[in-house]
Amino acid sequence: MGTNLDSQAEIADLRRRIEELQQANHSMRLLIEMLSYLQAAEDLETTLRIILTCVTSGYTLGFNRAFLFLHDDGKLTGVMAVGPGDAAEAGKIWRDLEVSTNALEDVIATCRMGGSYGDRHLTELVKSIVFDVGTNPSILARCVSECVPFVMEDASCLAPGDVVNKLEPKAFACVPMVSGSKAIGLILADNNITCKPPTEEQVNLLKMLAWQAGQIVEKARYQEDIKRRLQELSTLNEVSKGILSTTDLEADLTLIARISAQVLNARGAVVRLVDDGSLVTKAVYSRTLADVTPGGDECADAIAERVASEGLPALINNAGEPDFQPGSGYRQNLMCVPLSKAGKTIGTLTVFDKMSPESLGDSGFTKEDFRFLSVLAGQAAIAIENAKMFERLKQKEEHIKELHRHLLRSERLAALGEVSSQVAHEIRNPLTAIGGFARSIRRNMEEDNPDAKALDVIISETARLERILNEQLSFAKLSPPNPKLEDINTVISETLQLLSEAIASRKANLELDLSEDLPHVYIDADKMKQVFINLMQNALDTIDEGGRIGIGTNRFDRTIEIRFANDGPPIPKHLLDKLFVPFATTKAGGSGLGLAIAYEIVYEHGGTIDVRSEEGIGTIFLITLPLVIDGDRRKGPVDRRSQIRDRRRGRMP
Amino acid sequence: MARILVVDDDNSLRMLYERELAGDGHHVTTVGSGKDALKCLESSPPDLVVLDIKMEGMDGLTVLDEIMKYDSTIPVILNTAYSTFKADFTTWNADAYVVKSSDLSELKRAIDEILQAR
Repeated sequence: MGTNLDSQAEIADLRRRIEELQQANHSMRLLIEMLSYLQAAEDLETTLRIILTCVTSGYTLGFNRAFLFLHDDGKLTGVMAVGPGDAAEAGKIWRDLEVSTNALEDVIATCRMGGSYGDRHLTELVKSIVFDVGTNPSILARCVSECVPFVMEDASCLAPGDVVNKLEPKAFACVPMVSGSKAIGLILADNNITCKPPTEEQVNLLKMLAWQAGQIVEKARYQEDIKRRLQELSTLNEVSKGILSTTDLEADLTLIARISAQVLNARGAVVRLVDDGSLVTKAVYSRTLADVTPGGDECADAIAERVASEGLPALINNAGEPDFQPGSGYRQNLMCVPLSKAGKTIGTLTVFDKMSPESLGDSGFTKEDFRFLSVLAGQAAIAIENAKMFERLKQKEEHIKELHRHLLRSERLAALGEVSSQVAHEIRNPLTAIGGFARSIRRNMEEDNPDAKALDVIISETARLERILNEQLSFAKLSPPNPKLEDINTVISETLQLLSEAIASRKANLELDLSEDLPHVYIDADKMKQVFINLMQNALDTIDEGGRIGIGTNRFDRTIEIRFANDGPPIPKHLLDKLFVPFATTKAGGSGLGLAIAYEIVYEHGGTIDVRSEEGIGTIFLITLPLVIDGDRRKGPVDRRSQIRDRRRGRMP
Repeated sequence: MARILVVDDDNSLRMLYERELAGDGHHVTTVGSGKDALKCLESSPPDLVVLDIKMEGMDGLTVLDEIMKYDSTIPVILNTAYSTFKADFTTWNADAYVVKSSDLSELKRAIDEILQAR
């Protein structure tokens, strides 16, 4: 009988084992079925929803409710929940499920269409749980940091301060989702409605599911990440193309604000630029009209100021930010990044009020949004700098156009000069004839002839016309000097000889003080003669009959100095400054060019010309010319005209 | 007392030079073109030529060239309304370059200097 008993025990044992195996087999089949659905999930959200659905489906694990947390960057964040909001809803859901044939397939099909009221309610609840794993004593923190599951038949074992109490869990299990060697999140499953402690089978299946889910979730997250980055890249590409193609600064700023808000799904965006040391709002985009009204939000302004001065971006979601009180009912959350170029902050870009899809509730801006805005800000800064540069370029272009207009005018003037020089030459022949005959007749005329005075007028007037002609021509020409080494005293003597007639007629007293040890200077004698003639003619016009004209030369270390002084009335003070400006001080009968030409020529020679004029002293023009050092390679050739002539005559120089 | 040939296409100036230079005691011949001037060189060779540059037909610089070819010892004074030709090296064969002026003293001084040097 003992044997019989033994075999009965063996049979019972075998039955138990068979049951166990059947159970394990069932679990395996369920797991494989669940995994096949999970593998087919197209994105992270669906993956998570399927996991939670499997945990709560009566066909599979059969928990009342399931919560999913993700662990990232030391933070545990509630992400999603599935379950009935209350007992009434639970009863309805479960009755519906009983009539289905393949519960899991149907449930997953419905879950893809979006969660129930309870799901939304619980998701909102779980999302409010976000904490640092390192510093929080919650059992959830221990679950992920130690990578161990916890099963609690009674929630009274929980520490009263544990955040998990928010979910009012009853009879729950919490298991880590593991990928590699670290927990990437956890699943909390409980029987909040039935209050039944989780069975061993439930817990085992949950552990296996969580284990597999860890890897699938991690994979889905990577895929999601890659997808998002790709999308960001293409968005960024579009954005860059858009904002870089505009060169109008104002249009550019508006575009940046609009694109930032649209791309980040925000309600609005503001671009502020540093202008004259302070931050000025330059462009506002908003989907709500109220936001565009000026004045805005002092708090957002203050944040922008801080971002600009510190050069650090700010991500402020309403919750847990004591220094951010939203202003007049909007701007619940905002991101503000500096726009910087070469390390210098040129402005800020603020995006406010994330517009989350209804199902997800108000989640504010994510870290990814923040990162994306920073990248966008980089592009925006470049675009703004480009536009600014373009505006500066436009200004430069305007300036160049202005210069061009000026040049055209000068060219016209030059052309006019050319024409007038043609005319001047045509006039010279008849003028020479008129004046020449007048002089000729006058010379043979008795002094008491009544016509003598009339002829004198003809002579002096033609002389004046000729002088104006000469000045006009030399100003139109003003060719570069053709310098040679010359003795300045000789040039002065030649000038005086040319003017001998005029000097005689004015009965001028010449006082010469020419230095005897004057070195030769490098000048164009003809041009310098023109200078001296102009100065002498001025002096002759100025002095009274019999007045004094002094001419002196002096040597200094590196310069020589030539003085032309006269004792005529002084030049009015207001004219002294513009004495050398063409046409500025035209005296009666003058061309207005005499002193301007003198100035040009002296300037061409590297010299200076100054004037001093005072009552009682008279007027002194002072010319300073640079001396050439002996052996200067610019030493000009001797007069080739005379050389050639001498050779022709058979005389050697 | 010298034989002076004046070449100028301006009739008034020819009259003026004839009157003035004759008044100084010179024997003056005037012609209105380069061609006539060259004919004159053969028929009555002058001691000095006063030559205009801008002329109808043959211009003064070409005439100067022809004179130099014919007899390079004949002194020539270029007498013109333009100061710009001064830089032109073809004018360097002339003995003087005087810009036209109703005051003939510079021209006369040049004539005297050249005649004295001979």
